[in-house]
Amino acid sequence: MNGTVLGCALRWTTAVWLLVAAWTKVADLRRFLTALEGYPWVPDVALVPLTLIVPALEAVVATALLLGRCRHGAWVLATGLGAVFVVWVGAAWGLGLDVRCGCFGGDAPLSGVTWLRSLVFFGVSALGLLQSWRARHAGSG
Amino acid sequence: MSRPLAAWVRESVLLAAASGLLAAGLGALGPELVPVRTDRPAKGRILMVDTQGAPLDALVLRLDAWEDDFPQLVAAWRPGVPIRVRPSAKPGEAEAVARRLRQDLGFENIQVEVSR
Repeated sequence: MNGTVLGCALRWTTAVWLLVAAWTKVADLRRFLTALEGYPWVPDVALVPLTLIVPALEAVVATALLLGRCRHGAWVLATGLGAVFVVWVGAAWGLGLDVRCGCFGGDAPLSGVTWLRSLVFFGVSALGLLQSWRARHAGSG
Repeated sequence: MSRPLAAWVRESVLLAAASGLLAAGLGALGPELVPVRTDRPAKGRILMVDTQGAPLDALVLRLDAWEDDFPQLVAAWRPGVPIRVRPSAKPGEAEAVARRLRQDLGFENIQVEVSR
C-alpha cells in the first residue's frame, strides 16, 4: 500500500469515526452530560463546557480531515483527543467506576472493550499524524 | 520554533478556536444543560427531597414508592422553585430520583447535593 492510499484511508477512518461520535453526542447533549457526571474527577463547573466542547472539537477535526484543510493541525488534535480518551477511559475502567462511556451517545457501560476501542482510535490517529509528518517533510525536502 | 512546527501549532490553534465557536453556538442554540449534581450550597427558596425516608426539613421521595410519594411532592412544590435531592447511601439513587423528577415534572432545575 503506498503512502497516499494509506494516508487517505487513515484520514477517512478517523474523520468518519469522529463525525459519528460528534453526531451521536449532539443528538442528545443531555445524555452526554449525564455520562460525564459519572466521572468524579470532572469538576461541576466544567461539566457543561465539556459537554459542548468535546463534540464541537470532534466535528471540527473531522471536517478539517475530510476537506483537507488545516490537515496537519487536525491530526495533532485528533491524536491529542485519542490520547485523552485512552487515559480517561483507562482510568475509569481501572478504578472500576460504574459509568457510561458517553463515547457514541449510547447507554452502554464502560468496559475493557471501550478502552480497547479508544486505543485503536489513538493508534489510527497517531499513524495519521506520523504519515502527515512524513508527507510534509518529503514534500519540503 | 521551526517553520513546519509553527505551522502545525498555528493550524491546531485555529481549529481549537473554531471548536470553541461551534461549542458556543451549540450552547446558545441547543437544549438547556443543567447538571444533576452540584456542590454549591442551596440558597433562597428551595424544596429539599430525601430518598431515604428519614427526612429533616425535606419531603420523602423513594424510587420504590414513587406512586405514593410523588403526589405529596407535587402538592408541596410551586412551579419554578428549585428542587434539591439529598445524596443517598445507595450509589446513583439520588441522581435517578432527580432525573425522574425532571422527566415527570418537566422542570430542569432539580439537582443532587454532593458533599466534597
